[in-house]
Amino acid sequence: MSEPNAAALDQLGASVSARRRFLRRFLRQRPALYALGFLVLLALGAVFAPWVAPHDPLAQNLDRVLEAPSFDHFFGTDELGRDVASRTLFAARISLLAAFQAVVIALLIGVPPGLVAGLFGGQTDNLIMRITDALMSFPPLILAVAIIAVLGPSLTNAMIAVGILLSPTFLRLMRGTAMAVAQETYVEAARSIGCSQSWIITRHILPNVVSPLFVQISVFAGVAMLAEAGLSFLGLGAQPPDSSWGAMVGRGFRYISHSPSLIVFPGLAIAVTVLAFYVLGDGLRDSLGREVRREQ
Amino acid sequence: MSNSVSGFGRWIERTIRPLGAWALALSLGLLGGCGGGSDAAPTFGAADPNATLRFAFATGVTRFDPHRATSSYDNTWLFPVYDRLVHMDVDGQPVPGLALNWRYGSEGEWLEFELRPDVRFHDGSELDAAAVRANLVRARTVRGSAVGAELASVRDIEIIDALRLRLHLHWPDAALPLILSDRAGMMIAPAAFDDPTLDRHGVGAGPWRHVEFRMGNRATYERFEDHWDPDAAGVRRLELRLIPDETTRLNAVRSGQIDGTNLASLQIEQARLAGLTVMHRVGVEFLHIQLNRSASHFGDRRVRQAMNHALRRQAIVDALGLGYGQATVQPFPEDYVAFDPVTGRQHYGPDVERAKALLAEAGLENGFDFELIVPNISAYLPLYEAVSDQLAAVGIRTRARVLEGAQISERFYGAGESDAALVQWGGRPDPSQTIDLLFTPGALPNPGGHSTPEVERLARVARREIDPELRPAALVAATRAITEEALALVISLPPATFALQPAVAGFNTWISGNKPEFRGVVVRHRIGEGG
Repeated sequence: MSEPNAAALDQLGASVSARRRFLRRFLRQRPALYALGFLVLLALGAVFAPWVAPHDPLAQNLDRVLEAPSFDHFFGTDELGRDVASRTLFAARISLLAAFQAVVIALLIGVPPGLVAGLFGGQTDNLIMRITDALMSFPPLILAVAIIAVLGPSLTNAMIAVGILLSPTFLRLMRGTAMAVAQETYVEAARSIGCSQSWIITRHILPNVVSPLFVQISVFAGVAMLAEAGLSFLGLGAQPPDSSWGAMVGRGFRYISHSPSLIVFPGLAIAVTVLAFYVLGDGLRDSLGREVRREQ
Repeated sequence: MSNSVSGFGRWIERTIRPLGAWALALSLGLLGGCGGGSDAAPTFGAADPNATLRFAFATGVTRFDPHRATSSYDNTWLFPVYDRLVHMDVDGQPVPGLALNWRYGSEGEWLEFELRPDVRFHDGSELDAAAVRANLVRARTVRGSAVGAELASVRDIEIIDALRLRLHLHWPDAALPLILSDRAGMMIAPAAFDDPTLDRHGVGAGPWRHVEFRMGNRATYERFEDHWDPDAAGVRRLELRLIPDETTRLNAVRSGQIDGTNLASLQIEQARLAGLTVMHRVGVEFLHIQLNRSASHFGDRRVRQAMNHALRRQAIVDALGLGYGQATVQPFPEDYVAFDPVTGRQHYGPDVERAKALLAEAGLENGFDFELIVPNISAYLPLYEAVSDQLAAVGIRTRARVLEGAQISERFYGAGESDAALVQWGGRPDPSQTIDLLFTPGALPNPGGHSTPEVERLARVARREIDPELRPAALVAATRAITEEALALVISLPPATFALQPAVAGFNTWISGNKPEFRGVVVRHRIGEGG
């Protein structure tokens, strides 16, 4: 009984120091830190939007529509006289929530079968991967539109669609990583002393596949946000009175010749936020990648 | 790791890059458009009889069998192929079509038509009284007829001679001439009646023969050389295209891919800046919240009046239509035969206090909720938000249910689901049609079948008043009752708006709105850049 405990302790010690080294590496990544800072600020702004926003995002004023940016309305007003700055801030809630929803759905759909395929191999692996291949052979946007056509246009349905589309990548990532980890000696050791399958998965496999997962989550949060923006632009995502940045660009597009600022600010918000997710993902990958190389 | 970004990431990349290029091209185009306001406008010579006219619309055609075509917007696609017994001028007055003249019996017990001689269908067969009778019988009885109900007053059709026939009527029907200028009066070559391809290939007696139809894309027509009116087809070829997106349509005219299109009023300035001819006219189309008056609390007149008082129509027209359009509480435009000048356009002025008082009188001092169907079209969302905000100000809360056009017909009109729908009524040639279809029981466009005895009585009087001197007053009386009973919740009459290449001449804006005809429209030769 003392043997496995020692092995587990070793493993724990190694991962704690690895985590510390990872953190040290990450703190040296300036762009990634800025990106993280921006995302944290954005999330705080979204959470505290009711207190931060200068105006009620739904308050209409039909006498002051399509106004250019001014001191009263920093980003101008939309076609119903609503304050674009406040709407952009409130839309951050929807856009971030949408990205979160899509990634969670993708994780729920992708991770468990990926682990199973990686660990068990054989026919199970074959079956799961063929289903994945079939899913990946669909053109993504068309599949998303088809899913929304079945479920009806709403933000949650759009994000279910995006989540389904992102899930194969998580699945493949999990499968590959799990396969590699399953060959490690400590897993073999655990197996040989009779540890149960669920023990091995939760204590040995999962902690070692989580790091690459975080990188992927960050990148895919950006991808999901972009996909949400595209679907909302087409009217298939957020429905009024809710509004996401993509929906704001879609709505503002009709008024492009009267008030270009309507699409500029939410468009910028999408671009900067997606970039921040990508840069953060790159930073995470670089911090992690060097560690992996050094350990090898 | 970058490998695992995989297909989706690459797809995003593939999509974004061309989008970036496109955005750049667009902004350059816009800059070019702003800077390029040269005063060297092209000049044009005589009409080119061999020209092709290409025109795009937002709505397609359900089928080319006019008796079974279900949408009033099908007319646009059917008019080139099918002449009607009666035609309509741009202001909605009946004028001779295939019939040279018509007259009622003294009590309105019959309506007699004298046909134009020497008229032929596109298949060469003769258009005579027998062919007309066969068409009218078919219009009433063909399986799946969409126009049968409009001919309910016709009891029997008698052929008097080769060019005269008499419609015996159950009751005097003053709307019949203009009903016969609609799909019900379109004449199909009898040999094509049972042809299974009729839905996709029309055979009529119109100025153009139907050449080709690609569902969901375009229809092509070619001049019918034996048409009775040599001036009707001003161009040899006519191409009608379906382009649902308004921005795409405008860009297609700007780039010269098409010669004309209908637009949203938002695009008027943009089209003018691009040097296009822009025409717009308020007609019989209107935007309204159509209430199922048998649902929610809408059976109560005070509730309907409160809702009418809640709307700030002029503000909506100014903000969302940029001032184009007519804010009104009536289902007809000002200066139209059925418009009631006594109640006027502002019978229910915006008045939040009055609205609240009316709701309190109806026992709804805390307001109420209802479900409102909203079409899944970008133009309707801001409109929905504006009206729901204004209704909320008096305590009436809406729940939006976003549906596709076809689903709205099925759910709201067919199955009687939901309490109301935010929709556009396409209008009809005769005002009695609109009055009967929307405000009296029994018609499909009146879900719930609600009416009031007074409105029903006045609608019947207006429909049966065949004396042209007396009918306008009867129509106005019916409209007044509809307005006072607040049966309608009209928001505004949007203008039908068209943008044309400067080479196009002879195009008219019709009171029917987005259902223009192309008789007499020509494309002129371009003779150079003038000073």
